[in-house]
Amino acid sequence: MFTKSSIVIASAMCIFIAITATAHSPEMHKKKDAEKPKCDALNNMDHTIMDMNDPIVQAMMKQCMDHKQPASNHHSEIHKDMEQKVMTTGDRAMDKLSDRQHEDDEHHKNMKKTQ
Amino acid sequence: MKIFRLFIYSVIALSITLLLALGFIYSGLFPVGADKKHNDFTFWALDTLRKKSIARASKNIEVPSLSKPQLLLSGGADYNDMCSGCHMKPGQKESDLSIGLYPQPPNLTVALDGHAHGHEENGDDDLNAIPRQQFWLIKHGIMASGMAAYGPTHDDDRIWAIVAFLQKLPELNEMQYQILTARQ
Repeated sequence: MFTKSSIVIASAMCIFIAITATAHSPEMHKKKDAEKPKCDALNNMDHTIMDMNDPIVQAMMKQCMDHKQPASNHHSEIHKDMEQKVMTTGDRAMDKLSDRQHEDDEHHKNMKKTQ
Repeated sequence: MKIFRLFIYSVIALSITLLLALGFIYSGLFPVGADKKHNDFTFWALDTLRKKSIARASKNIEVPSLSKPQLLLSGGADYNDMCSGCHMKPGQKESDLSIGLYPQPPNLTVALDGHAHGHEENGDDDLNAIPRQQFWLIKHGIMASGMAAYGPTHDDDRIWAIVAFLQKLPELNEMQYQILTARQ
């Protein structure tokens, strides 16, 4: 009797675990009050001394671009450099973001000319 | 006759040893608290066992390219959520978990020379030995050590991203860490 009930309980537990064990998606880690990247610190840095070949710098720039930092002429120059590095790393997402940035810059230039 | 007697004595000695070992296990005398340290021999035996086992189990793992910036972002966010409590963030020296766990988890913000990984002792001194072993460790964990296995809940790509982040972690300052580990 005891053995039978033990088997039933153990089986039920196994089935429960199997059903509830799902892959841990990044969405599950997202928190409502998650800290956003403090990109102001990056923007205040002297970009001329930053090594654009460094994957850490490239990753930080991408992170801050993804969080919609305001564009400036200074950033456009950085993005030009990044575009070259991106071509070598093969990161197409960064490539697209840089293209979009250049398109915006071109648009602003054309607007100024017409004015 | 002499050989037969020797055989009998050996069986008796082995039986007594096994009974004593079983008696010790059932006595509850062994201190299992994490605030008690192993003696030198036990520590050496377990540490060597761990290093050799990881080196052997991971030797055929092929290390992919870990240089893409995107890996640092996805791996960084996962590291911050899953690992930093035990393995520290830049500027952090200790936490409740790093103090309370035994054996103490390595501080991964320190360059690899600063904490023992043992890959050089295993003759596994190629450049990919460390990322290969880190991948295996994260995927499979280490039994009875506090290091969980993330393989059942995280796919290989995500684990490799964490490994990519670990290669850069000792170079990061607090500001860089904050930006890279914020979840997108």
